[in-house]
Amino acid sequence: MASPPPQSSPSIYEQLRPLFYPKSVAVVGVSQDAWKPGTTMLRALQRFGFQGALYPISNRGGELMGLQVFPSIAALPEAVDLAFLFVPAPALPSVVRECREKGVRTVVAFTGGFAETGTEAGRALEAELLAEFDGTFRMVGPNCLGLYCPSGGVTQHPGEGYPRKSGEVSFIAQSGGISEDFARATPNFGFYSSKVISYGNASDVNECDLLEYMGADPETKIITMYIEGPRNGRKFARLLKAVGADKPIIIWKGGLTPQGALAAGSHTGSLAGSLEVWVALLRQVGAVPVGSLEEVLDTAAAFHFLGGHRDLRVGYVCAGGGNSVAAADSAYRTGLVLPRLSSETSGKIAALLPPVGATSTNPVDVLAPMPAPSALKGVLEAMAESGEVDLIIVDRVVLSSELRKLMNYSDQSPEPDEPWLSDIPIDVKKRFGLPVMVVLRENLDPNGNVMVEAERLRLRRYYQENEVAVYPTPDRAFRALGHVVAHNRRGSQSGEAS
Amino acid sequence: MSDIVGDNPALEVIEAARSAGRRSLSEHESKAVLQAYGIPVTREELVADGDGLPAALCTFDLPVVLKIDSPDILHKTEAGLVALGCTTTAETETAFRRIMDDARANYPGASINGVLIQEMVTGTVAECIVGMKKDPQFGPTILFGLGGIFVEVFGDVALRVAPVSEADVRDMVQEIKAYKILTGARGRPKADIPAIEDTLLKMSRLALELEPYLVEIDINPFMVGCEDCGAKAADALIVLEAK
Repeated sequence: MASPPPQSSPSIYEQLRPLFYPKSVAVVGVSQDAWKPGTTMLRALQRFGFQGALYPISNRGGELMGLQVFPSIAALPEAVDLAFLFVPAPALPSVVRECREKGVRTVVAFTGGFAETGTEAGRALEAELLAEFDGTFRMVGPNCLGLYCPSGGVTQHPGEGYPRKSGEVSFIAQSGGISEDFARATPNFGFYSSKVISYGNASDVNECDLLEYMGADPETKIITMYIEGPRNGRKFARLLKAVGADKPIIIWKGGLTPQGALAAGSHTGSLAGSLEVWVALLRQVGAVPVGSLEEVLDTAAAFHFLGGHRDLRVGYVCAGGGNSVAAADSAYRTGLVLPRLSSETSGKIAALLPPVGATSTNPVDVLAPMPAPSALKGVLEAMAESGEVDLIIVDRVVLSSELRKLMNYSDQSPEPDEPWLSDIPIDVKKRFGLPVMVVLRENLDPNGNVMVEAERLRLRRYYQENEVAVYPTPDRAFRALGHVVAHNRRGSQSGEAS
Repeated sequence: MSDIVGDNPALEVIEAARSAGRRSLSEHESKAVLQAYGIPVTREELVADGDGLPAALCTFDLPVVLKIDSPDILHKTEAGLVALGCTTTAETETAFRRIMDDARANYPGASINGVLIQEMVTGTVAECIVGMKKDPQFGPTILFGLGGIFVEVFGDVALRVAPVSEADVRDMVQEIKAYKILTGARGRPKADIPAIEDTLLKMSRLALELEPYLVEIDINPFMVGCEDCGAKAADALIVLEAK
């Protein structure tokens, strides 16, 4: 996708790079009131660890957080790469003009009160704002929450506590609140963000620019999006296809119901479009359609952990017959297959399990959530070395001694809990080179003991750090895996066809 | 636009209708536009008055279909201005007079071009619908489905945004729930699926090239024959943008 930029004008990549990797940042609209948005933005940047030059701007001058406050953009000693604008809507056009005259390269306008209000005055103000654009600089917003790029040292408006660690997943969001939810949630799903940006009304920088940027961005390997309505549908469709040929694009389209479409109109002034055409388009361009933030995150995590996985056969190990049946249904719905195991493999597994009540075919039912560690290890090894499945999911098995203690399972196991119990899925994954996913179910304690939840979360983090994807329900695990497999199979099919 | 389409005969038909202040093409005109893009249509001849009927009939094998041809009468069947399966010359002449008389009597303000004498399509395996509709965000979309209850009751259609690729049109045909009817379910003959795919590709090209003039295209029914037998638009309607 990194096509050579035209000689005449800088590429979208060059135009937008200062947003994510600014050497200098101005925050316009700071105040001595610690809680005001301009001030919180300045503080967030400082605490997040922005390394470049930081210029607070307020017509009252003085000093703030150890920094000299400048009276205006014009008074700055340099033309900054990026200006964050926290000024009242009526003042925004003149501040943007000042930025242009100074040679500021990019601006982010947080203020709302433009076209999204649906009023004549709001639309007129947005038109006045747009009249300032001459192609020499770019603006994100208005009506947005800015952006987060840990490798560039910049964070969103309320984002001083966001992770400093950078990842390979980027999120392009029309909504500020949803972009914040994404940035906060990612580490809990086992991956980190490269870039998160909310673009609000898309008056200048829109979904097409950002999609093109993420396509060219070497740090971004997986693209996720929340979109209400594109500014330029045809260009968006072309870009989805072109960028999607190299990187998976996971799209959550908001406003697909009549009520949602109405809400989108007042949120970002978007025309939501018809459900049928969107469904057809996403299928046509090979994007991954999802319907909630949870599904965006689940699916991005699956692409992060499983990459190019394209095999349908899943070995599923669970505790309990009903849960095995339910999971087999989930697998079928997502297009995945739980193949029957050969009698040889099945025999090996049967020898490890209780003679009555367990099931040694796929789905394997180990009977109770606290199988002996050696039995669990043997079952996963037998599956992995059989060559009869391409991925293993372990569900509803209690996978740490601590959790077994907390759940009063310790004295129900035929052999003592081994310290390596938790490592079984990681070990099998490494030794056999077979992807393993773990389902750690929530709400395990009947009395709401938070220590149980704490141990579950610790275990989740432990698996994720060891490159094992974790989901809270088998449904979500299969849904995410199904997206990855379908996407990768589709990609290779259309490759063969054309 | 004119330098893109050159001396496109489809554009001549469209321009003539627009010059007359019309927002839709008659069946005959619609088919001329489709034919200009290589979409197969039924062989037909427009006969303006009864004197021309015998000469026209010489060139057809009986039975034939007769339909009123008027840009002002869009729902010909509902108006009773269609005669299917006329098997003799006498029967055809009677039907011709009846259609002309009824049209004049019941649609006094309508501009009537005459009656279309049309080949009666035989050997149809599946009656399909091929359509085009402009989406406000993504431009022309191409639609495919099986006619009758499949589209009208079950909404069983496949949709794509133009331009469509060969892979896209293959997916479209396979995507509809009634696909098995095309592949010979329950001992039925297999339909000429490549002929459908070819028409969908041509519809995509037509829609993009003539986009500024078009609102909607409806080929219904699109009569699909058995394997290697081809397919034909038996009726068509094109709705135009206002000038």
